[in-house]
Amino acid sequence: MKFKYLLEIAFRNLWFRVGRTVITIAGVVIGIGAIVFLVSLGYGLQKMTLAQIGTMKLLEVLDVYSEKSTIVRMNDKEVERISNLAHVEATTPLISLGGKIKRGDKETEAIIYGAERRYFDFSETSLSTGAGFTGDLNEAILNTAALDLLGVKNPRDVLGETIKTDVVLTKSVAPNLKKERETEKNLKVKVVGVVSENGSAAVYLPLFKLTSKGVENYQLLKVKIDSKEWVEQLRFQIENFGFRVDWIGDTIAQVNQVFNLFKIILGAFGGIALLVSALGIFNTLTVSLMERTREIGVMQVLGMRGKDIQKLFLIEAGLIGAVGGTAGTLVGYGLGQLLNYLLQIFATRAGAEAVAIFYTPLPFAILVGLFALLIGLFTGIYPALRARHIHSLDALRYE
Amino acid sequence: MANRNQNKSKKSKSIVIETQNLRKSFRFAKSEISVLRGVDLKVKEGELVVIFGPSGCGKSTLLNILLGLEEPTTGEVKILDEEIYNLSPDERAHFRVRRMGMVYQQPIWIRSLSVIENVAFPLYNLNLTKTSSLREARLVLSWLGLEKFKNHYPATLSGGEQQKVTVARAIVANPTIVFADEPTGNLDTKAAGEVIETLKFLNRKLGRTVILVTHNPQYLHLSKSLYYMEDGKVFKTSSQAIAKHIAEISI
Repeated sequence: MKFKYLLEIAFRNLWFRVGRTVITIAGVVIGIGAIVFLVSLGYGLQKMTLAQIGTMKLLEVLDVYSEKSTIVRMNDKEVERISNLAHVEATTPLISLGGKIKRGDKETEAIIYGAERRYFDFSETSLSTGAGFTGDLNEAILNTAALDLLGVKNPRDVLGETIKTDVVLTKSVAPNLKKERETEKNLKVKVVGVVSENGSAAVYLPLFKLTSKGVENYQLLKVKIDSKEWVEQLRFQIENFGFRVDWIGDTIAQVNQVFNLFKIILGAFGGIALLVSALGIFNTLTVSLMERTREIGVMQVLGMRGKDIQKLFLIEAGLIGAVGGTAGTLVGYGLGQLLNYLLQIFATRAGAEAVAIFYTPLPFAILVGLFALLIGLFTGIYPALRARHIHSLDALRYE
Repeated sequence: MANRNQNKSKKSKSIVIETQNLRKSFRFAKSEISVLRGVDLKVKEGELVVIFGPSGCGKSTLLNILLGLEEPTTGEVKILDEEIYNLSPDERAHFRVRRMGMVYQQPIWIRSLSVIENVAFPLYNLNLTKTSSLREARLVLSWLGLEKFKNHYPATLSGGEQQKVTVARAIVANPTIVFADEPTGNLDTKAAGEVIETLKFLNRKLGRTVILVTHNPQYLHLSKSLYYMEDGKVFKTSSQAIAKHIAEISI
């Protein structure tokens, strides 16, 4: 028999017992919906976390540190060696010193960084307020943690203000220093920007301001490469120079690993619901098989082949799975979007940043829908085989 | 349809059913029960044959064997010169749909399909298109005056109407032979009469060979080709002989 007639008859059979069919499909909808809903939560949280970690362009940046125990220092000679490696587009160093910041009568301990303007392009710490370094050596960029300690509420208030900093130089960063430790006091700098950065208070000064005071050893070198496919090669080369190389991709991979596990656990909860619904399909088909035993007998007498009867039952099972899968995916997706929408309303009212904690990737949705179809077909195998092997004469005598 | 023309050209009283020394026995636990003990049957094209016999004489088994649904223990079954038990089960199913129609005592439906779709169902199995299957089904329904029911569900019709639709389904694939196994068993007298009229119409007007199996003596007069079946054997007989025989048994 032609497949389209089988499909039509299968559809009519399901329609004939529409109440039972709807309940069976509802089981699949709940199972698939739960999976889509829960796993979308996993995807959403993963996406949020990754967004916090950084943007795609940071995948092309390596962080090169000098190991604490080693005698290899990151200085201009090493920077040049690294800059000359193939596929390195640009580099920018970071100096890190101890010190203080003073504003009016308030003062706080702070990290004193020395950085170039482009450092902020290669780093997750980007300017949130102000225009950044212009080239003048007496400029400074504060981080938000420092603003809190200095009692600044609105970052704009501090722009253009002159503050003072103390910078502690040591022989380990400035080898030509006469003493072991020297403090440059009350350097006057004008605030030209603020970066969002929580944790320790810090102020960024122009790199040259600190190198001119004798600093030669850098804490960190940001290495921008032309494509992330060279990460492993360059990491190997730079590590051979005696440095440690960090790459944000490693963090992302770890985060992904954690979230993949999380999604599997969430999916498994939904899977339990799906398992129950699979039993529902099985039960429905078995009852239907028993009800239709005589019907199967007469279909055989009227020339329907065993394999067509088998197909008919498989199609009915598959239809339940496919319809339930499609509807379940839509329900799971819709529920997530609804919650996203409600959260957005609450966030806007509370004046907070809106977040989407549910995210359903299309390939995942398609996969789950297909999975439901497979579950349907799978549970249909046994009833279909039974239907196929019903002996027509026994079936016709069946009461 | 080529098939239809072929039937007409063969009208010269060819043999459509032929069995030789047909035997069938069933095993129950350790005992063996012989249901058919050597049936020889010859039916000519266009005949209306009545096979009469008490319950349990083996009528249904004989019908099932003729329909190709149950293999005989020994003996040959030739339908339209085809030795049907030499065919594979699928070939046999196909052959059955093309050549033989069946009316059971109780109509059995594909409940989710309408009357016309049920009637067209055998044609779907012959891989006809939906349009032509439904066209044939409507034609057959109109022959039997059933067109008005075509969009009803069969279960909503009366017993007699349902049985007439079964007849329509039995002839939709234009078979040469139509078997009817106690077709009036569950019907009141009026409906039974209508069904019998329908079968007579098939035989006289549409030229089909009709095999009516019954234990109701009312239908003995329907045909001169009358067989009496008892204890697994079939005898050619007349209505008077049967009447006499029945009288003897009841004494």
